Amino acid sequence: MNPWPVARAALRRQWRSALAMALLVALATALGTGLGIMERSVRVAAAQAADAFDLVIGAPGSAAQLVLTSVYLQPDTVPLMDGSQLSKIMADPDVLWASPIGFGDQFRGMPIVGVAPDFVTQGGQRTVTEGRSFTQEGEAVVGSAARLALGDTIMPGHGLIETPEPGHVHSESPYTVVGRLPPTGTAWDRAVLVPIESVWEIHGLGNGHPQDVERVGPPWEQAAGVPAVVVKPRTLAGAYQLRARYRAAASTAVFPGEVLASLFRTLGDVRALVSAMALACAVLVVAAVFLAFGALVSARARDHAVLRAIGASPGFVLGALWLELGVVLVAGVTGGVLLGWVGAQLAAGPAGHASGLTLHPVLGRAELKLALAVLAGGLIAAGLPAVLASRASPGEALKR
Amino acid sequence: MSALSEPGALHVHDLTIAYPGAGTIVSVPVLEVAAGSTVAIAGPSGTGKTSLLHALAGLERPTTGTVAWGDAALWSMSTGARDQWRRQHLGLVFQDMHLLSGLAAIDNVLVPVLFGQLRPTKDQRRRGLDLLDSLGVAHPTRDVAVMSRGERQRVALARALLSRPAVLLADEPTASLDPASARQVTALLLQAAAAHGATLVVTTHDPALIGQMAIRLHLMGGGLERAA
Repeated sequence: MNPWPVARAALRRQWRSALAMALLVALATALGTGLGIMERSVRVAAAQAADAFDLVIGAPGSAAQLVLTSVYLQPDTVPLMDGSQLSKIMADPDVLWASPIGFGDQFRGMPIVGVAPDFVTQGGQRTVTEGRSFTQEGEAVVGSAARLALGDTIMPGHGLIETPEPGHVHSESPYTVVGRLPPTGTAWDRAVLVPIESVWEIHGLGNGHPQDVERVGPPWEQAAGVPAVVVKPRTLAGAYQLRARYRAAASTAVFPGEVLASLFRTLGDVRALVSAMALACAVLVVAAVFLAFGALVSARARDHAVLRAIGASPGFVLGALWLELGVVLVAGVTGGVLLGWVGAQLAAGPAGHASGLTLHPVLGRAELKLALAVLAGGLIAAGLPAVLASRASPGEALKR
Repeated sequence: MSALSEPGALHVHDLTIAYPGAGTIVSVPVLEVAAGSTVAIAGPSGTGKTSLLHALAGLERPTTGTVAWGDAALWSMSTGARDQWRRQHLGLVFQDMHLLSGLAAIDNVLVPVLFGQLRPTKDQRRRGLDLLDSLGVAHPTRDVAVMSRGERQRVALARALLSRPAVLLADEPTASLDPASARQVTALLLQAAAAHGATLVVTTHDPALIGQMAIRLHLMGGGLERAA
């Protein structure tokens, strides 16, 4: 038995209907696939971004806000932690290295972030890909994706985000780009890193050192307030001790990974909702395909009756119908998976730019499972009209 | 094999076909047709010619009675066995041809082969092409969708003849054709039946076709009457 030529002839004859059904299936599959890929790639990129931040200490307040500000450089106004806390952290025996993070300015939309030299080198674990690290005020090291070249001069504009109207520009305190960092796939790739001393000084807070001392880096004897301090603990046990020690009245300490896990738990509900919506969309499309296929089968009742009349078994007619819809579904689902993947690749750029994360959308098992579910659901849904058509009395159908 | 048990010998007993609301529209107490005969079932539209033909073909179960071709009592068989009987012994020709558009003429002729095989053998394909050639189909690889009605009816006839059937049933085979094509199809049907020794039963109200059949039956008021 070989019903394929009969199924192929039906597909050729009604290629417009077949194409419309395949497109419908493809769009539903693409929606679910694209959403799934994007959701996972954002989650993975967000988790990777937090890897470099073992412990973040800031003023008492929202842990999530502290992480979003320091790890993802999301512009927000966070309360400042007293400068005396910074000195205390720098002197803590459990701290391998630490760096204050100070915001307030931007250049062409790129945040200018004041840090310690150890942050640039990650305590000697990271080297610049171009130039060198800053060694004095007025120098800057840019992230890998910052559209600046070595030797460029930066005039910091006040504010965390670029506004259409020209805001206050600190023209008296330009920076010269002296180095470029390797890519990290995080918002820091678009940042301009400058000595924390410069940030304090531009905002009239001194440079953290005694008068006439012009060096960059700790110790800061007269540290001003900072939004956050990134800490590299010496040991894992030390990390927990540090977190406990700085969860106090004057400060709060968080593991970004832990905050992120908590955020993802909350977002998990949203994720489930998005997945449910994608699934509902797929179910609706399968239902639409079922109805369209049912109508198509009904319109061709005489063709099936003729096949039965000239000797085809009900199984042959069933096979031909199932093959016909199988081709439509396989084409639709395959096209949908490809379309969803291409869509995710195209969306990764703008979405990554908006979130500051480098997204790497890849197909996962979840998407393949969804595709198989649509395929199986469609084939099962098509079963009823196909079985009814194959079992219909050929004599009655021929006389209609 | 006795004449009665030949696959082309028709035996109908106590056959009635009734529909709810319409009552009994066909009643045939006895009909015996020898193998190789040509039979016309004539009558006005709506008298049950097609229903009777479907009952003879094993497509529509009669309300009562039996239909046997040789030893094969169609309505005592399972559906599968009846399907197989049609595949092996029956050639069917419809008024509307009912070919599969999207397939070439030769592929339409070979469709019944696919009911039991993955693909036609070279011999089956050769026979299909020979049949089309003998019936005057000039372009066997052309899609039937672009062929004339007369040409499509000849393709349908070739499909019916492929398995060398002992029984050839045709439902109004000339009704939708122009007179020239109708004459040609009539001649081809008779030639094919004669060449294969098949029993030919046609339903028709085409006097030219009726006139060429050896046995002429009229379906009137539900009963079959033999015409002169």
